[in-house]
Amino acid sequence: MLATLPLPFYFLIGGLLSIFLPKGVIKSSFVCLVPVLALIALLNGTWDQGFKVQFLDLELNFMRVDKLSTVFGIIFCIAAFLGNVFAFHLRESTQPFVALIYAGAAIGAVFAGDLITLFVYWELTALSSVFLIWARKTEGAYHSGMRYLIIQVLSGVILLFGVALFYFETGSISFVKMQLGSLATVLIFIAFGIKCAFPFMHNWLQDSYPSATITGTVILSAFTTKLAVYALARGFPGTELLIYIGAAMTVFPIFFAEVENDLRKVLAYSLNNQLGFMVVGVGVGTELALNGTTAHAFSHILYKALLFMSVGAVLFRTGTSRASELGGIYRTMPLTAIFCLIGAASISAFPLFSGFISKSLIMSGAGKEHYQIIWLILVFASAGVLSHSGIKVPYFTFFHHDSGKRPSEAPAHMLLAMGLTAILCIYIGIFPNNLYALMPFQVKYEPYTFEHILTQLQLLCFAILAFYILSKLKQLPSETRSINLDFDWTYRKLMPSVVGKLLLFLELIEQRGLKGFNKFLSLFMDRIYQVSGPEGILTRILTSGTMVLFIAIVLLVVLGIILF
Amino acid sequence: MKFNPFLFFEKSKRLRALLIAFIILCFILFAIDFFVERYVYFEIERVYNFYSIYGFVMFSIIIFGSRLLRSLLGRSENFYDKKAVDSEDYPGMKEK
Repeated sequence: MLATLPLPFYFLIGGLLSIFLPKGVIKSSFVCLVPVLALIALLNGTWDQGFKVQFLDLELNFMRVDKLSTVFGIIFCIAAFLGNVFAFHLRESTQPFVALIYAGAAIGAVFAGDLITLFVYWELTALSSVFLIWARKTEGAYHSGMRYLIIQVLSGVILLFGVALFYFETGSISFVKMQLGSLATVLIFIAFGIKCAFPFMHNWLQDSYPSATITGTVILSAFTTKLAVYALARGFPGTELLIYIGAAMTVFPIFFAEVENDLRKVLAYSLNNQLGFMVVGVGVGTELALNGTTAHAFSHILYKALLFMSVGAVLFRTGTSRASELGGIYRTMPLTAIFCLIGAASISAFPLFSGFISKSLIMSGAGKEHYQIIWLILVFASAGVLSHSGIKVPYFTFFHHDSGKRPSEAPAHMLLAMGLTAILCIYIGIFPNNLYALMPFQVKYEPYTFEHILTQLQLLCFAILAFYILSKLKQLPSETRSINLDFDWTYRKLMPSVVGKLLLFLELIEQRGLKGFNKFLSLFMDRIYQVSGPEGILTRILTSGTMVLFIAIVLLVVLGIILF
Repeated sequence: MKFNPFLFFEKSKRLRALLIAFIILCFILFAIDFFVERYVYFEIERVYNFYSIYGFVMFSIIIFGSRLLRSLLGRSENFYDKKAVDSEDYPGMKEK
């Protein structure tokens, strides 16, 4: 029975069970154990026939297991494990529970063989993960979480519309490769795009990840966006539009990341930039490029988690993750600094680190298909990655000027989580074939050629040289407590201000209109009052004598008429 | 004494040595390009030391571009809201 239980159920059942466990070591150990069990089940599982359920007249498949879904399933299990180890110190119920449900939802979506199942898990990732933001328990985090939830749920609703239309058009709900061309597929594409942080749909990412709890951000960074990358790779491989969207995604976040002060926001922009590489890979759509996207998602989840962990550990010890407040922490947090540098080297794609063996698949994929401009942009973006994640994050956190802070080294469980992640980053970098063996297509690629190592080192070393010279010339952007406007300005400032002005305008109209109407009404009532009020000409109360006189006059008149 | 390899470089002499080693590495990487016949996807890659020059120039563009971006779009931390996450310290954490 256990062998055929759909993988997400391990997490969902585990999550529910975790509520009843006492807070502390037992609960924390349990939430670490669940992903391990799930991973063992995945590696030994027997889901060749899927796990099919009849719902109304639709056949749902909870476990479509092939190479593409398996590799995402594996890395999601690993990420859930590492994230929960990092969060071992938590003594509360919400976050461990939510972390499991969220991971389970993401894994469920990855193994969904049909669009209805995909939709259900798609929404569950949103509904569960928002609690990792709200768990910060400040007013700002509450609002960030609300914006996150609205955008994520919107993505789900658009997906649902798309799926319904797709069913009417094709009579099928199976989640297979689609072509952009009908309203249905466009809606599904947009829904994926929102979760994948396409340009102009990306701000939920930079808004919410720095707002989440220290451990929440580590967990958040792994699932939602990579689920979207998986969905694109499954649904829209070879869609040329994705190449240009992806290229834009690699470029614009670089500039923002370079001047952001909050290092977790820097990493969120950097995440956006890395997603761009993967999206380009999906757009190119060849076996090489899709392998590249998958491999890069795998190594990216690890080094991005490692970077978020190391900055998180500093935040845990100092209470801030601002570049302007940090610096010189290497003295007392050397291990965290080393792990951060390993993450930085991996994301910058130094030889022997994981980024080097995964990103080059995508670059070669674009090169082989003769996308010269795109290729140049990707090389540019590689220098950009080095600038913000490779240099800025470790440099301003641990080195640079001394902030005077002397925090103690990160707690043991955080060091363990970072250490394991760092080992994986290096292991993948040194033995790429173990990762390549998991890829959806056979990999015929050798990353460690002399010229590849040489060109990559030339690019990186001369970029570092530029950094050194510019820093000596005092040309680097200063670290000041500030933020930078991005597209979220439109819905955080512009829209409220436009709506506010509109409301004021309506109020004005209402007031002015009412004034006029009131004036008219009161004049009208005055006139009626004059005519038929107590003193009105029509309703005056007259004395009996007057009435008798009035009747006498009337009689006289009538008499006069009759007589003459 | 706790393990801390960074303290080794606290002496300015050693840091300077590290820096000189790095500059020598850059020089070697630059010179070596002359002897290597690279397989290329695009003609532009054939330019002598394409990657070194591209890396150096693009990094500089990123730095100056981002400074321009900040001068246009930079705002105070309280821009959106006084209670926004942007300006708050992490709750419940004191330096330990």
